[in-house]
Amino acid sequence: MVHNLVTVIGLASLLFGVFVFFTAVLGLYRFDYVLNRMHAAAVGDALGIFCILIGLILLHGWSLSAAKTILIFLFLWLTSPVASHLIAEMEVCTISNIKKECEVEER
Amino acid sequence: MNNSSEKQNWRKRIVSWVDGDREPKDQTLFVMERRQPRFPRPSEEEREKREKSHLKKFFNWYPIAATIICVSLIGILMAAALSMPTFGQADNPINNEVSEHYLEHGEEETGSANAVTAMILSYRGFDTLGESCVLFLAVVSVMMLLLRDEKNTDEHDLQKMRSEDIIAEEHHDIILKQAARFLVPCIFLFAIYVLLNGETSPGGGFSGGTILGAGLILFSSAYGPGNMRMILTYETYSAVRTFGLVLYITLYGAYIFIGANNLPNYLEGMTLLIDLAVGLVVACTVYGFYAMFARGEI
Repeated sequence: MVHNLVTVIGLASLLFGVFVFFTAVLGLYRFDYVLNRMHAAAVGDALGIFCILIGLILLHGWSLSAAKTILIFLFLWLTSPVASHLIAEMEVCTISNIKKECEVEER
Repeated sequence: MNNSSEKQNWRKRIVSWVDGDREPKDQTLFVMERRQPRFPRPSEEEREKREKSHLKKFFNWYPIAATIICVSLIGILMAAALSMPTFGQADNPINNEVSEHYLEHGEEETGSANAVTAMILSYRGFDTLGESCVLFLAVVSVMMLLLRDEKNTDEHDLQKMRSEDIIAEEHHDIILKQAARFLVPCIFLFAIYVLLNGETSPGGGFSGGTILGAGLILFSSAYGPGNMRMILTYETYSAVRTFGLVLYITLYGAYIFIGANNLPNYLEGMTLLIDLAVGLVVACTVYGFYAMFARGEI
Protein backbone atom coordinates (compact mmCIF):
# COMPACT_ATOMS: atom_id res chain seq x y z
CA MET A 1 0.00 0.00 0.00
CA VAL A 2 2.69 2.43 1.08
CA HIS A 3 4.83 1.37 -1.85
CA ASN A 4 1.99 2.05 -4.29
CA LEU A 5 1.35 5.42 -2.71
CA VAL A 6 5.02 6.39 -3.01
CA THR A 7 5.05 5.31 -6.66
CA VAL A 8 1.94 7.35 -7.40
CA ILE A 9 3.38 10.44 -5.69
CA GLY A 10 6.67 10.00 -7.53
CA LEU A 11 4.95 9.69 -10.88
CA ALA A 12 2.77 12.70 -10.18
CA SER A 13 5.78 14.79 -9.21
CA LEU A 14 7.64 13.63 -12.32
CA LEU A 15 4.71 14.56 -14.55
CA PHE A 16 4.35 17.92 -12.82
CA GLY A 17 8.04 18.56 -13.40
CA VAL A 18 7.65 17.77 -17.08
CA PHE A 19 4.67 20.13 -17.21
CA VAL A 20 6.70 22.90 -15.57
CA PHE A 21 9.46 22.40 -18.09
CA PHE A 22 6.91 22.53 -20.89
CA THR A 23 5.63 25.90 -19.62
CA ALA A 24 9.22 27.09 -19.27
CA VAL A 25 10.04 26.26 -22.88
CA LEU A 26 6.75 27.74 -24.04
CA GLY A 27 7.49 30.96 -22.16
CA LEU A 28 11.01 31.04 -23.55
CA TYR A 29 9.61 31.03 -27.07
CA ARG A 30 6.48 33.12 -26.55
CA PHE A 31 7.84 36.08 -24.58
CA ASP A 32 9.61 38.88 -26.38
CA TYR A 33 11.70 40.63 -23.78
CA VAL A 34 14.83 39.20 -22.20
CA LEU A 35 13.77 39.57 -18.59
CA ASN A 36 10.40 37.91 -19.18
CA ARG A 37 12.01 35.02 -21.01
CA MET A 38 14.57 34.67 -18.25
CA HIS A 39 11.84 34.44 -15.68
CA ALA A 40 10.20 31.63 -17.62
CA ALA A 41 13.50 29.78 -17.93
CA ALA A 42 14.28 30.23 -14.23
CA VAL A 43 10.96 28.62 -13.28
CA GLY A 44 12.02 25.52 -15.15
CA ASP A 45 15.45 25.58 -13.58
CA ALA A 46 14.20 25.87 -10.03
CA LEU A 47 10.80 24.17 -9.75
CA GLY A 48 10.96 21.81 -12.70
CA ILE A 49 14.28 20.25 -11.82
CA PHE A 50 13.20 19.97 -8.17
CA CYS A 51 9.99 18.12 -9.04
CA ILE A 52 11.69 15.79 -11.49
CA LEU A 53 14.52 14.88 -9.14
CA ILE A 54 12.14 14.39 -6.18
CA GLY A 55 10.03 12.14 -8.40
CA LEU A 56 13.12 10.15 -9.37
CA ILE A 57 14.16 9.76 -5.73
CA LEU A 58 10.68 8.55 -4.76
CA LEU A 59 10.52 6.09 -7.64
CA HIS A 60 14.03 4.80 -7.14
CA GLY A 61 14.02 4.49 -3.37
CA TRP A 62 16.50 5.75 -0.84
CA SER A 63 20.12 4.98 -1.74
CA LEU A 64 23.47 6.63 -2.34
CA SER A 65 22.29 7.76 -5.77
CA ALA A 66 19.34 9.50 -4.12
CA ALA A 67 21.70 11.42 -1.84
CA LYS A 68 23.73 12.44 -4.87
CA THR A 69 20.54 13.56 -6.59
CA ILE A 70 19.75 15.80 -3.63
CA LEU A 71 23.25 17.27 -3.98
CA ILE A 72 22.58 17.90 -7.67
CA PHE A 73 19.47 19.94 -7.07
CA LEU A 74 21.05 21.81 -4.19
CA PHE A 75 23.84 22.76 -6.59
CA LEU A 76 21.36 23.83 -9.24
CA TRP A 77 19.37 25.86 -6.71
CA LEU A 78 22.54 27.61 -5.65
CA THR A 79 23.90 28.36 -9.09
CA SER A 80 20.89 28.98 -11.31
CA PRO A 81 19.54 32.05 -9.43
CA VAL A 82 23.03 33.56 -9.36
CA ALA A 83 23.39 33.09 -13.10
CA SER A 84 19.93 34.55 -13.73
CA HIS A 85 20.76 37.49 -11.49
CA LEU A 86 23.95 38.20 -13.42
CA ILE A 87 22.21 38.05 -16.79
CA ALA A 88 19.44 40.35 -15.54
CA GLU A 89 21.97 42.79 -14.11
CA MET A 90 23.86 42.87 -17.38
CA GLU A 91 20.64 43.48 -19.29
CA VAL A 92 19.59 46.34 -16.98
CA CYS A 93 23.06 47.87 -17.13
CA THR A 94 23.32 47.84 -20.90
CA ILE A 95 19.80 48.61 -22.11
CA SER A 96 19.28 52.26 -22.93
CA ASN A 97 15.53 52.61 -22.44
CA ILE A 98 14.67 50.32 -19.56
CA LYS A 99 11.52 52.29 -18.72
CA LYS A 100 10.05 51.54 -22.09
CA GLU A 101 10.51 47.82 -21.70
CA CYS A 102 9.35 47.44 -18.14
CA GLU A 103 8.20 49.68 -15.35
CA VAL A 104 11.07 50.11 -12.97
CA GLU A 105 10.27 50.85 -9.38
CA GLU A 106 12.30 53.85 -8.24
CA ARG A 107 13.45 53.88 -4.68
CA MET B 1 80.52 42.66 -46.30
CA ASN B 2 78.18 42.42 -49.23
CA ASN B 3 77.27 38.89 -48.33
CA SER B 4 76.38 39.76 -44.75
CA SER B 5 74.19 42.68 -45.81
CA GLU B 6 72.37 40.39 -48.23
CA LYS B 7 71.80 37.94 -45.37
CA GLN B 8 70.41 40.78 -43.26
CA ASN B 9 68.08 41.66 -46.09
CA TRP B 10 66.84 38.09 -46.31
CA ARG B 11 66.20 37.94 -42.61
CA LYS B 12 64.30 41.19 -42.73
CA ARG B 13 62.16 39.93 -45.55
CA ILE B 14 61.42 36.68 -43.75
CA VAL B 15 60.55 38.55 -40.58
CA SER B 16 58.22 40.88 -42.44
CA TRP B 17 56.65 37.90 -44.21
CA VAL B 18 56.04 36.17 -40.87
CA ASP B 19 54.59 39.36 -39.44
CA GLY B 20 52.25 39.56 -42.40
CA ASP B 21 53.50 42.85 -43.82
CA ARG B 22 52.89 43.49 -47.49
CA GLU B 23 55.79 42.80 -49.73
CA PRO B 24 57.08 45.85 -51.58
CA LYS B 25 55.55 45.93 -55.01
CA ASP B 26 57.57 44.28 -57.71
CA GLN B 27 58.34 46.34 -60.77
CA THR B 28 57.32 43.62 -63.21
CA LEU B 29 53.93 43.29 -61.56
CA PHE B 30 53.52 47.02 -61.72
CA VAL B 31 54.06 46.99 -65.48
CA MET B 32 51.48 44.29 -65.90
CA GLU B 33 48.96 46.13 -63.81
CA ARG B 34 49.25 49.23 -65.93
CA ARG B 35 48.12 47.43 -69.04
CA GLN B 36 44.65 48.03 -70.31
CA PRO B 37 42.12 45.41 -69.22
CA ARG B 38 41.43 42.99 -72.00
CA PHE B 39 37.67 43.32 -71.77
CA PRO B 40 36.05 46.70 -71.38
CA ARG B 41 34.64 47.10 -67.92
CA PRO B 42 30.86 46.85 -67.76
CA SER B 43 29.05 49.95 -66.75
CA GLU B 44 27.36 50.25 -63.36
CA GLU B 45 23.85 49.54 -64.63
CA GLU B 46 24.92 46.61 -66.70
CA ARG B 47 26.74 45.11 -63.75
CA GLU B 48 23.74 45.53 -61.52
CA LYS B 49 21.54 43.85 -64.08
CA ARG B 50 23.95 41.00 -64.43
CA GLU B 51 24.17 40.59 -60.65
CA LYS B 52 20.41 40.53 -60.37
CA SER B 53 20.06 37.87 -63.02
CA HIS B 54 22.77 35.84 -61.30
CA LEU B 55 20.97 36.19 -58.01
CA LYS B 56 17.67 35.17 -59.55
CA LYS B 57 19.25 32.14 -61.14
CA PHE B 58 20.88 31.26 -57.84
CA PHE B 59 17.62 31.47 -55.93
CA ASN B 60 15.90 29.38 -58.54
CA TRP B 61 18.49 26.66 -58.27
CA TYR B 62 19.08 26.87 -54.54
CA PRO B 63 15.98 24.99 -53.27
CA ILE B 64 16.37 22.35 -55.95
CA ALA B 65 20.02 21.76 -55.13
CA ALA B 66 19.29 21.78 -51.40
CA THR B 67 16.50 19.25 -51.83
CA ILE B 68 18.66 16.97 -53.95
CA ILE B 69 21.53 17.10 -51.47
CA CYS B 70 19.22 16.51 -48.51
CA VAL B 71 17.40 13.61 -50.14
CA SER B 72 20.61 11.93 -51.25
CA LEU B 73 22.12 12.37 -47.77
CA ILE B 74 19.02 10.91 -46.17
CA GLY B 75 19.16 8.04 -48.64
CA ILE B 76 22.80 7.31 -47.90
CA LEU B 77 22.25 7.43 -44.15
CA MET B 78 19.14 5.27 -44.37
CA ALA B 79 20.99 2.73 -46.46
CA ALA B 80 23.80 2.72 -43.92
CA ALA B 81 21.34 2.34 -41.05
CA LEU B 82 19.54 -0.51 -42.78
CA SER B 83 22.73 -2.43 -43.39
CA MET B 84 23.82 -2.04 -39.77
CA PRO B 85 23.76 -5.16 -37.57
CA THR B 86 20.85 -5.45 -35.17
CA PHE B 87 21.43 -3.71 -31.88
CA GLY B 88 22.45 -5.94 -29.01
CA GLN B 89 22.83 -9.22 -30.91
CA ALA B 90 25.44 -11.61 -29.57
CA ASP B 91 27.06 -12.34 -32.93
CA ASN B 92 27.59 -8.71 -33.95
CA PRO B 93 31.04 -7.83 -35.29
CA ILE B 94 31.65 -5.50 -32.34
CA ASN B 95 31.37 -8.38 -29.88
CA ASN B 96 34.72 -9.91 -30.76
CA GLU B 97 37.69 -11.07 -28.77
CA VAL B 98 39.14 -7.56 -28.42
CA SER B 99 36.39 -6.13 -26.24
CA GLU B 100 36.18 -9.46 -24.40
CA HIS B 101 39.88 -9.22 -23.63
CA TYR B 102 39.51 -5.60 -22.48
CA LEU B 103 36.67 -6.48 -20.14
CA GLU B 104 38.19 -9.67 -18.76
CA HIS B 105 41.85 -8.76 -18.37
CA GLY B 106 41.61 -4.97 -18.14
CA GLU B 107 41.78 -4.82 -14.38
CA GLU B 108 44.81 -7.03 -13.92
CA GLU B 109 46.68 -5.59 -16.90
CA THR B 110 46.18 -1.89 -16.25
CA GLY B 111 45.26 -1.79 -12.58
CA SER B 112 42.13 0.29 -13.04
CA ALA B 113 38.74 -1.15 -12.21
CA ASN B 114 36.91 1.19 -14.56
CA ALA B 115 36.96 -0.42 -17.99
CA VAL B 116 36.52 2.90 -19.78
CA THR B 117 39.53 4.44 -18.04
CA ALA B 118 41.56 1.30 -18.73
CA MET B 119 40.68 1.57 -22.39
CA ILE B 120 41.21 5.28 -23.02
CA LEU B 121 44.36 5.63 -20.91
CA SER B 122 46.14 2.33 -21.47
CA TYR B 123 44.96 0.32 -24.44
CA ARG B 124 44.09 3.34 -26.55
CA GLY B 125 46.56 5.68 -24.88
CA PHE B 126 47.97 7.03 -28.13
CA ASP B 127 44.53 8.25 -29.10
CA THR B 128 44.17 10.13 -25.83
CA LEU B 129 47.68 11.49 -26.22
CA GLY B 130 46.66 12.91 -29.59
CA GLU B 131 43.58 14.46 -28.03
CA SER B 132 45.66 16.10 -25.31
CA CYS B 133 48.02 17.43 -27.99
CA VAL B 134 45.05 18.85 -29.90
CA LEU B 135 43.84 20.65 -26.75
CA PHE B 136 47.34 21.95 -26.08
CA LEU B 137 47.73 23.20 -29.65
CA ALA B 138 44.26 24.77 -29.60
CA VAL B 139 45.07 26.86 -26.56
CA VAL B 140 48.47 27.75 -28.02
CA SER B 141 46.91 29.03 -31.24
CA VAL B 142 44.24 30.98 -29.38
CA MET B 143 47.03 32.55 -27.33
CA MET B 144 48.92 33.41 -30.50
CA LEU B 145 45.89 35.31 -31.77
CA LEU B 146 44.53 36.91 -28.61
CA LEU B 147 47.31 37.26 -26.07
CA ARG B 148 47.93 40.87 -25.13
CA ASP B 149 51.55 42.01 -25.13
CA GLU B 150 53.38 45.26 -25.74
CA LYS B 151 53.34 44.77 -29.51
CA ASN B 152 49.60 44.68 -30.05
CA THR B 153 48.42 46.89 -27.22
CA ASP B 154 48.49 50.65 -27.38
CA GLU B 155 47.83 53.30 -24.75
CA HIS B 156 44.16 53.55 -25.70
CA ASP B 157 43.49 49.85 -25.06
CA LEU B 158 45.31 49.98 -21.74
CA GLN B 159 43.30 52.98 -20.64
CA LYS B 160 40.05 51.30 -21.64
CA MET B 161 40.98 48.20 -19.68
CA ARG B 162 41.92 50.26 -16.67
CA SER B 163 38.61 52.10 -16.69
CA GLU B 164 36.76 48.81 -17.04
CA ASP B 165 38.69 47.48 -14.06
CA ILE B 166 37.72 50.52 -12.01
CA ILE B 167 34.05 50.03 -12.92
CA ALA B 168 34.28 46.37 -11.97
CA GLU B 169 35.93 47.30 -8.66
CA GLU B 170 33.17 49.73 -7.78
CA HIS B 171 30.30 47.49 -8.78
CA HIS B 172 31.40 44.31 -7.10
CA ASP B 173 28.54 41.88 -7.10
CA ILE B 174 27.94 40.63 -3.58
CA ILE B 175 25.58 37.87 -4.67
CA LEU B 176 28.10 36.36 -7.04
CA LYS B 177 30.87 36.75 -4.49
CA GLN B 178 28.97 35.02 -1.70
CA ALA B 179 27.88 32.23 -4.01
CA ALA B 180 31.42 31.79 -5.29
CA ARG B 181 32.76 31.76 -1.75
CA PHE B 182 30.63 28.76 -1.00
CA LEU B 183 30.82 27.06 -4.38
CA VAL B 184 34.47 27.36 -5.42
CA PRO B 185 35.85 25.08 -2.67
CA CYS B 186 33.08 22.56 -3.35
CA ILE B 187 33.81 22.59 -7.07
CA PHE B 188 37.55 22.18 -6.53
CA LEU B 189 36.93 19.34 -4.08
CA PHE B 190 34.61 17.63 -6.53
CA ALA B 191 37.12 18.10 -9.34
CA ILE B 192 39.88 16.49 -7.29
CA TYR B 193 37.53 13.66 -6.35
CA VAL B 194 36.63 13.02 -9.99
CA LEU B 195 40.28 13.26 -11.05
CA LEU B 196 41.60 10.85 -8.44
CA ASN B 197 38.65 8.49 -8.57
CA GLY B 198 38.67 8.04 -12.33
CA GLU B 199 40.41 4.71 -11.92
CA THR B 200 37.58 3.06 -10.08
CA SER B 201 34.45 4.97 -10.98
CA PRO B 202 33.07 7.02 -13.85
CA GLY B 203 35.10 10.16 -14.28
CA GLY B 204 38.74 10.66 -15.04
CA GLY B 205 40.97 13.19 -16.65
CA PHE B 206 38.66 14.86 -19.11
CA SER B 207 35.64 15.36 -16.86
CA GLY B 208 37.71 16.19 -13.79
CA GLY B 209 39.80 18.67 -15.74
CA THR B 210 36.71 20.38 -17.11
CA ILE B 211 35.26 20.74 -13.61
CA LEU B 212 38.57 22.16 -12.38
CA GLY B 213 38.61 24.65 -15.26
CA ALA B 214 35.02 25.66 -14.52
CA GLY B 215 35.98 26.30 -10.90
CA LEU B 216 38.86 28.49 -12.04
CA ILE B 217 36.51 30.42 -14.34
CA LEU B 218 34.04 30.97 -11.49
CA PHE B 219 36.80 32.17 -9.18
CA SER B 220 38.18 34.51 -11.83
CA SER B 221 34.81 36.04 -12.69
CA ALA B 222 33.78 36.45 -9.07
CA TYR B 223 36.96 37.87 -7.57
CA GLY B 224 38.50 39.60 -10.55
CA PRO B 225 41.76 39.05 -12.39
CA GLY B 226 43.82 40.65 -9.64
CA ASN B 227 42.97 37.96 -7.13
CA MET B 228 43.26 35.32 -9.82
CA ARG B 229 46.84 36.33 -10.43
CA MET B 230 47.65 35.50 -6.82
CA ILE B 231 46.98 31.82 -7.40
CA LEU B 232 47.72 31.52 -11.12
CA THR B 233 50.20 33.70 -12.96
CA TYR B 234 51.05 33.36 -16.61
CA GLU B 235 54.28 31.54 -15.79
CA THR B 236 52.54 29.03 -13.54
CA TYR B 237 49.88 28.52 -16.14
CA SER B 238 52.39 27.76 -18.89
CA ALA B 239 54.43 25.55 -16.59
CA VAL B 240 51.39 23.50 -15.50
CA ARG B 241 50.13 23.16 -19.06
CA THR B 242 53.48 21.97 -20.39
CA PHE B 243 54.10 19.79 -17.35
CA GLY B 244 50.82 17.93 -17.90
CA LEU B 245 51.61 17.07 -21.49
CA VAL B 246 55.25 16.16 -20.79
CA LEU B 247 54.20 13.97 -17.87
CA TYR B 248 51.75 12.16 -20.09
CA ILE B 249 54.28 11.64 -22.87
CA THR B 250 56.96 10.40 -20.47
CA LEU B 251 54.68 8.01 -18.62
CA TYR B 252 53.08 6.64 -21.72
CA GLY B 253 56.45 6.25 -23.42
CA ALA B 254 57.75 4.35 -20.41
CA TYR B 255 54.61 2.23 -20.42
CA ILE B 256 54.99 1.34 -24.10
CA PHE B 257 58.70 0.64 -23.62
CA ILE B 258 58.10 -1.67 -20.67
CA GLY B 259 55.31 -3.49 -22.43
CA ALA B 260 57.25 -3.94 -25.64
CA ASN B 261 60.39 -5.29 -23.94
CA ASN B 262 58.65 -7.55 -21.43
CA LEU B 263 60.22 -5.75 -18.50
CA PRO B 264 58.72 -6.08 -15.03
CA ASN B 265 56.08 -3.41 -14.52
CA TYR B 266 56.77 -1.20 -11.55
CA LEU B 267 54.37 1.51 -12.65
CA GLU B 268 51.39 0.42 -10.63
CA GLY B 269 49.71 3.77 -10.19
CA MET B 270 50.35 4.86 -13.74
CA THR B 271 46.73 5.27 -14.74
CA LEU B 272 46.20 7.66 -11.86
CA LEU B 273 49.15 9.82 -12.87
CA ILE B 274 48.10 9.86 -16.53
CA ASP B 275 44.62 10.82 -15.38
CA LEU B 276 46.11 13.72 -13.46
CA ALA B 277 48.19 14.81 -16.46
CA VAL B 278 45.18 14.79 -18.77
CA GLY B 279 43.19 16.67 -16.13
CA LEU B 280 45.83 19.39 -15.90
CA VAL B 281 45.92 19.84 -19.67
CA VAL B 282 42.13 19.97 -19.95
CA ALA B 283 41.73 22.39 -17.04
CA CYS B 284 44.36 24.71 -18.49
CA THR B 285 42.67 24.58 -21.89
CA VAL B 286 39.24 25.42 -20.52
CA TYR B 287 40.47 28.25 -18.35
CA GLY B 288 42.84 29.50 -21.05
CA PHE B 289 40.03 29.89 -23.57
CA TYR B 290 37.95 31.84 -21.06
CA ALA B 291 40.79 34.12 -20.04
CA MET B 292 41.95 34.76 -23.59
CA PHE B 293 38.52 35.67 -24.88
CA ALA B 294 37.56 37.68 -21.81
CA ARG B 295 40.67 39.79 -21.27
CA GLY B 296 43.47 38.61 -23.52
CA GLU B 297 45.68 37.67 -20.62
CA ILE B 298 45.87 34.97 -17.98
